[in-house]
Amino acid sequence: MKNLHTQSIRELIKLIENRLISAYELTSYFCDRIQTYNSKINAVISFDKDIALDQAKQIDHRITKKKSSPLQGIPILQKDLICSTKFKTTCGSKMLANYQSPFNAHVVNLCDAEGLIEIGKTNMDEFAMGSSNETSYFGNVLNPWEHTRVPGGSSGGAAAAVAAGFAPLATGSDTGGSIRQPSSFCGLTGLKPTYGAVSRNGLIAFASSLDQIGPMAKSAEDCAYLMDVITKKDPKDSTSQQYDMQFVDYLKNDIPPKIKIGIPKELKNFTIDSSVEKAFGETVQSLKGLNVEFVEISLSSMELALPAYYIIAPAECSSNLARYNGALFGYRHEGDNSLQEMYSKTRTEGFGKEVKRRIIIGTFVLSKGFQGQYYQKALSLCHNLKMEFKKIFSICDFILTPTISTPAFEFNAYKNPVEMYQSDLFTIPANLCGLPAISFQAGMHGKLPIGAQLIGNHFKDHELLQLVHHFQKATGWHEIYPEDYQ
Amino acid sequence: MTAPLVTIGLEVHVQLNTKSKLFSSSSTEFGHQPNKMTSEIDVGLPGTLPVINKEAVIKAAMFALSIDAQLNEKSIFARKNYFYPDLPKSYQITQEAYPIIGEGVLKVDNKEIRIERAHLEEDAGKSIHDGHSSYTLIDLNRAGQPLLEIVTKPDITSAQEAIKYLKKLHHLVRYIDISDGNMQEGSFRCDANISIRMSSDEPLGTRVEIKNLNSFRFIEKAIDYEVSRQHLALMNNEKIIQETRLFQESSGKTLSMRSKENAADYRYFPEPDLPPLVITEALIQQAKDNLPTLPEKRVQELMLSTHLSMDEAEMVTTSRATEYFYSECVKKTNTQSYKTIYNLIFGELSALINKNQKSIGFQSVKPEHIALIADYLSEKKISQPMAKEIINALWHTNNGSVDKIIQEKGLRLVHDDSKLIQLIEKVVHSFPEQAQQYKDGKTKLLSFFVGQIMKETKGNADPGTLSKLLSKYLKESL
Repeated sequence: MKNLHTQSIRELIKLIENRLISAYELTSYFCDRIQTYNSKINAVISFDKDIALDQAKQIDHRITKKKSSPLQGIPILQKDLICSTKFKTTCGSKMLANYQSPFNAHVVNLCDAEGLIEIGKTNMDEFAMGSSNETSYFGNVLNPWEHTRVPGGSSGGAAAAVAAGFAPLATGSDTGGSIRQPSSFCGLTGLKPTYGAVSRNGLIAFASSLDQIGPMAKSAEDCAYLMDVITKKDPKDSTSQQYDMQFVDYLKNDIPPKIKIGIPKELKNFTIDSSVEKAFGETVQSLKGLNVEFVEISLSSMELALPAYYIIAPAECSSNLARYNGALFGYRHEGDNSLQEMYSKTRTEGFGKEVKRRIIIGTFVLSKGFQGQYYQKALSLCHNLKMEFKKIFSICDFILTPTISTPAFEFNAYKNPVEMYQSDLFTIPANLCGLPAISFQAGMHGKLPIGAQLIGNHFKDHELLQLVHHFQKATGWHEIYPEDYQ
Repeated sequence: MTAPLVTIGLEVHVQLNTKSKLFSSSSTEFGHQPNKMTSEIDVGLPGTLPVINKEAVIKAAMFALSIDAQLNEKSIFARKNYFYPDLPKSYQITQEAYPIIGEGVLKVDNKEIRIERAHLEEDAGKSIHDGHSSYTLIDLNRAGQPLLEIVTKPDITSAQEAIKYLKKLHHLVRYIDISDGNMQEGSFRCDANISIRMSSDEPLGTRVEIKNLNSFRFIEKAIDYEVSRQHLALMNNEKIIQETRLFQESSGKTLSMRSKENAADYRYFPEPDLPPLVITEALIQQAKDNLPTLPEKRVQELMLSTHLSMDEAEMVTTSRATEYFYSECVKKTNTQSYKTIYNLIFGELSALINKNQKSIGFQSVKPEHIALIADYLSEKKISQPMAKEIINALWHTNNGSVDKIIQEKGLRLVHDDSKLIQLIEKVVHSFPEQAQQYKDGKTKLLSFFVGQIMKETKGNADPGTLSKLLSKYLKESL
């Protein structure tokens, strides 16, 4: 069967349910695509056809027409900071280059129970720190739409892989935009769920209070299928919460009347690429066609979200990454060292530049005498931002912004890390406030896709998916594929 | 030379005797092979998350209730960051600005020692340096064990008072069963903050901390040494520096570990993996249900209801197990023989327990046995030596029965007058010489006859009845 990679999840499920294709054939198909194309874009870093096909065989054994487990036999790629016993879990780092987790992440257990086939692990920025997938120990990921461009980060491997048709579904993780920005650069739909909707148990932490696992796929509907699997409260994650929702079923309903979308008036204070402006304007028009009303809102704390984020995230990362020191697991600098030498050499050699930069920033902002100036201030900014969002959601249902102000940029585009940090401006506020946010394709600029972002109130993930689903039915933006990967 | 005024504040780490660790389901049992009692959470593997152990929270709440301390409705866990190989995550989850327990008071000999706070935290593993010059061994069995750190205000004024406070606290945490208090195993460890000044007009002196003291004797020695060291320094016009010192057991001295300038910056911040700890009414109720009557109140109760003296009642409440054993016996006696029960427990039974190095409650001698033996003693069915023999027999049998032992060994006092009179006749007639001497006024020979009759009855005759009948017989028949 041809072009299975352009089929929606709904269509793939039908093929499997009607026995037109087996899980084994479907898995083989995607494995073959990885074998053919991965060397071009380096999106998948752990892959084993035998491991994938073994799972598929087992699934073929148990496949029934029962709707209880709709995704059985559908291949999925896990981001390489999600612990899985089937493959190594490297976090894109030399530090964990050979790390084999002895346990599965909650999300992996849920996917296994559903019958999804884990065919591999995707490349990523080291420890999820980066916006371009240029910090991975395993090399850059190339954007399948144009190989001179970055795929975005940190879930760049996941985005490039799904865009190139290596799997119909992938997980990403999003701490400041790591699902949404690469989704925008690669023409995908990516949802950062409400904080707590998906268990972080088995997700290797970057910044614990911001990290969230979410789905990346071609369409909102495909994302909804994965959300139905991965949103289960986990007693092993104290921050996880119950989210009772049938996402796919919810999408079938018409969007409620009188939906109001707010556009922050502060957007005009920022430099936004004309191609993104154009797509944004067209998105507003398309949404108006769905009887959605627009209002102007003010999100004055938006600008301060960026510095707050680059204090809180590094602060938590400096603590979360302190366990990588050569003592118990992961890379160790061997030799006759003192304890201090072992620590310092292990960390000097095991971590890349960007990770070290953030650890140092984080260590500094938590230091005695500086906490008040930085960390405490950042927390209070966060508090203000939350209050502002609360007000906004009393007058409108969603907020629309570009996902990022440019299409995918070229490699080494930013000489100064702070400039690259600034590109996360639109995606960061949702993380700081635990809000769900979705990026979806909203246009094209030459060969490159452009995305837009909708932010919703807590546990309105299903409403975000529904609105984007209807937008996609109306516009068809999600059905364009990169030329070289047809 | 006037003695200095001593100011001491104590920080005690009490290991809570929960079944599992503070943030994982690993067992807390002591004495296993190194690193056997660990899970991926205790080892800090990537992707693991802590989940608070409710039992530990209940035990902390029990402590708060027992000293009537502030139990904070909301408390916050924080990370204390430092690098050490026996700290797998390179941070310890503890509580800093918002502890679970606020102010309270512990009364020691009519003096109130104020408790400043108490907080929950996880223990670190152990580094074993001895025996190897080129490497250190790490045992993570202790990593993640639940600790309650109890901090006093600087209210203590001498080493002796510190020991009294610690003994009281030690007794309390064991009595309310939140810790086994085993000091050798490190379940009750103490840091002491000590400063001196020469008069109460002066501000408090510079504080020196002595870390990781784990026996009452060492604590007392360490404080005494430290006070005289500081005093000597002041006499010589030396400045006391704020520092952390360690007590060296071999020399009895304290040695400098690090000064304030070199103190680590722990970069505390709220633990993002744990939401604020909320104490619900239901949890408080559970803590109340688990809490026994506190020792002081129980002493009063025992004095009133079982007529023990204060010393005796305090003896009963030395431990929860003893109190429980005694109370069970009291429930089961039919003759209100409280004093006899007390004497049996702290006499023969304690002797056996000590000899065999057992603890009360685990032996085969049960409260119902002691109660029955006490009843028989009161009813004069058995004698004191018989009671001793029965208890010894019970100690060596499982599910033994008092009546069965009495029957098998024939341990019953003979009260039957006619039976005794028969015996008396028989014995007196077989010793005519002695009978004659008795008649002639050698009344001391009464005990000779008693002994002979006892021999005949294998000691089963009730001595009181016997001597009454014997003297009557001798008077009348001769």
